[in-house]
Amino acid sequence: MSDDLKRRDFLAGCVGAGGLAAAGVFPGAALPSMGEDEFVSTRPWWVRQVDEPVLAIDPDVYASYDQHKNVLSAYRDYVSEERAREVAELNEAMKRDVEAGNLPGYRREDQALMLAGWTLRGTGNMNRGLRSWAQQRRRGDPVVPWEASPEKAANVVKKAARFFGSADAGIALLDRRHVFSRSYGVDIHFEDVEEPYEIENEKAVIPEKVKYAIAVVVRMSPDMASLAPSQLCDATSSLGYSRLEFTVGHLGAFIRNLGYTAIPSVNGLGSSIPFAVDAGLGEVGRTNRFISPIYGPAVQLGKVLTDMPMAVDKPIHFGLKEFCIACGRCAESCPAKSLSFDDEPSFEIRGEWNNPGHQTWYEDGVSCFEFWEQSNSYCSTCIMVCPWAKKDKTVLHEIVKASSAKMPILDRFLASMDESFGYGRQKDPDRWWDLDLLEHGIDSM
Amino acid sequence: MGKEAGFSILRVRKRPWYVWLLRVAWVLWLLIWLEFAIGSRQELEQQAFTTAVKVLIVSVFLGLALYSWKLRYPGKMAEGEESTSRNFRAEINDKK
Repeated sequence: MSDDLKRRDFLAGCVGAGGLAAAGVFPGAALPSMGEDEFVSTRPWWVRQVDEPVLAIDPDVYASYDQHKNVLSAYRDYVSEERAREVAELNEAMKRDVEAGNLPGYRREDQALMLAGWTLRGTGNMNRGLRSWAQQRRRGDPVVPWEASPEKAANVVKKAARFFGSADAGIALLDRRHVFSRSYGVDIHFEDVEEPYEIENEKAVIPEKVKYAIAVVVRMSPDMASLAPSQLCDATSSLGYSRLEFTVGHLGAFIRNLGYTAIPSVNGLGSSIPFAVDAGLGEVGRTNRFISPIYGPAVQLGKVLTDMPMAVDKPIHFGLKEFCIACGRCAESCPAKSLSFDDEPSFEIRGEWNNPGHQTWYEDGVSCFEFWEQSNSYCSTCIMVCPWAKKDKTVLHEIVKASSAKMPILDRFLASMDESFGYGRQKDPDRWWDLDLLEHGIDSM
Repeated sequence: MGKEAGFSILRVRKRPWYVWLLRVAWVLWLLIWLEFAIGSRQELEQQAFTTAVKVLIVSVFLGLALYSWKLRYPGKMAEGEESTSRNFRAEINDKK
């Protein structure tokens, strides 16, 4: 145990942990599923439903975001030509090292795995491939819309989402401000039409009747996330996108076969994070990214927009804001120092790449992207070091999560314990190939 | 131990409820750390595993040391305190 772990903190933690243990905290503890007309809740007992997301929105400022302002699309607009050239040279130098295959986590097989992970993702795009908006019914058409209570419809959709590979799913009323104003080179509009359509290079149209958003979560492999930054870690990210392509594509087809409109989406069309927050799947942390109470930050998000009437979920609170205020490990560990060190989340953006009007810890997207280029990876160090990223093979993690949610006074102690126990340090990438892997490498031993 | 009409009377003390509660808490504490050590091993978290094993070993030895120390020096019985058969060695020790 490290010296910075104070005896008084340790005892306080033991008392807290003991109390929660006595209260019956078990891994994966969840409310039982109920009757067919009721919600199926997968939330642990220490997760609280709230009426509004914890991090506020300024309704006068928050509006649809132009996706082309994203650093991935507009990096060269945010830096000088000289800087862009410098970063490109660093990227080339790293590529030469990668090609030599001598760097752990960047060997030839690691790179091949990462590139292969994109295979299914590469077949889709907004209204393309599995994410096509067109009806893809198998038998006969048109389908008479299925009728069910909103609760039953919600239950059925969540079960189908799980069936198609989602670790978690939630439903929210569609907030149109979360939909991009512009994406993939087209303006996005809402019109009073029956089916969504697209005029190439001009506009994409979502019917006015589309009022619901189904948010889905796909897990990354915690084993691979702990190899960040490396191309082996990137492989779980690329495969995650492909799995999302599969999940939202199939969920969209399922909804269409019930006789409703479905618009599947991964990263395009709208920012998935606010949809997932509204749908009660998690909160936004210091990384300005989504964190699930169950799976932590090692997740990827997608959504399906639909007109099928469903009971909606409420946002949740599990003490993440308070924990992130006390912890800050992601900001300290970020190799590009792109994350905010501010104590409190704010409305102050760091640059044009940020969408203003929502309270968060805004990140410096430019320096983050530059590190991606320099390291020839998608980094993900902030995911690896986050104390919420755990494999959950021990009851103590659940006790810690519950303690943080219910007793924020322990947050600083819990964060320091996490570090003291050696969590969040990069593992040896070469050892990954010797692990006994389960499906998608998610739950390996 | 007293003598009345040629009989030896053993006065033995029943352990108070909080001693049993502490023992149960101690066993729970050990179980939590044992489970954590096993889980950390499965998670490939070497430092967490090592720390858990250290805490476990120290807890076991501290508990056993306290237990044997209380056996050796159990403290005197209060006047009129009820006794059972469990602690007779304590009374014998007192006499010595």
